[in-house]
Amino acid sequence: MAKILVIDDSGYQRSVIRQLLAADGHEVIEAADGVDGLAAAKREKPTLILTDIVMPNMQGMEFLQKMKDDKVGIPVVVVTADIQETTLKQCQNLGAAGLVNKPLKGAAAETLRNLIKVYTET
Amino acid sequence: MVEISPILLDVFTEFVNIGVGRAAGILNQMVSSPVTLTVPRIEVLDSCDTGGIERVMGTETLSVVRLTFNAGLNGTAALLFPSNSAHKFVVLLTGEQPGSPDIDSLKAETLNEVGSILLNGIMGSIANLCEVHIGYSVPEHMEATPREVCGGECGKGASVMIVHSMFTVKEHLIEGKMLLIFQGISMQTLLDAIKRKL
Repeated sequence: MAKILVIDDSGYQRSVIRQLLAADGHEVIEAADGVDGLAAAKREKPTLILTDIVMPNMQGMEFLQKMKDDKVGIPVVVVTADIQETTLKQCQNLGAAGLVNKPLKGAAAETLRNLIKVYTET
Repeated sequence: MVEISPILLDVFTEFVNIGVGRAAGILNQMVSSPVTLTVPRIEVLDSCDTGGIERVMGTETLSVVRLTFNAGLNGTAALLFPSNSAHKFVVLLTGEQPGSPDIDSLKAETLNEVGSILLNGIMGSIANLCEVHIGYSVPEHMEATPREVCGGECGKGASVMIVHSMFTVKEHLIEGKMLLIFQGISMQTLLDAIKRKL
């Protein structure tokens, strides 16, 4: 199973994602903002990163930009409550591997699981 | 005061309805129970200083999740719960026992995240329909009156548009209110975007 980095300022949301990933046997590492997330991505070299957008210190969009600029080369899936079409386009332009809307229930959880399969089994 | 024609008001009400409906769908998914909503009401006030907010939203201190939005539209969105409803909501979402000492520490974080998801549901729908992009602040939890929630949005003499709706999860005796506040310039942006749709 894969090592996955979860970046979200909400401890509640991180625990929701952690339970979902742990149920599928993945190893989960966590960061509470983009700054810590970027450091963890370079240090831990996870197979996949899941990031929120609205966070203190460094937001998800800036995180995506830095990952792109620094050529870190780890796929990033955005997990956000933001349902705007413009946000989806921005994430795609910044190289996000996918976007899943919160809450992670039903179809959204299934979409995330499928994306994780795609990026951790290749 | 900014005047809104009946046609514009009708279209905007429909946009808000779609957003609130989406938020209700999300809430229903989260609590696995039916959610009842009132039709959103939209009012334009001269400012919040004239008692308009108190008239519309009451004076009770509530458990509030507030986030501000900016860029394409500026304003504040908030979810307001009576204290006992907030407690029941957190118990329901976290699976903690009602008397657990952990509830208080989980309350702000849980309500912030859930509030953010619901408010994004409303605001994101409106932004998509109006074809504008908005940015959000990190949500904040507070115990406050509706007047205090308005904070700096209600500058003296500035027109504001408020949108409010009530929701109830009868099965769990949870009720709450949603409040959107658009600043004067944003109101015009919103109305211009709606006009382009007509």
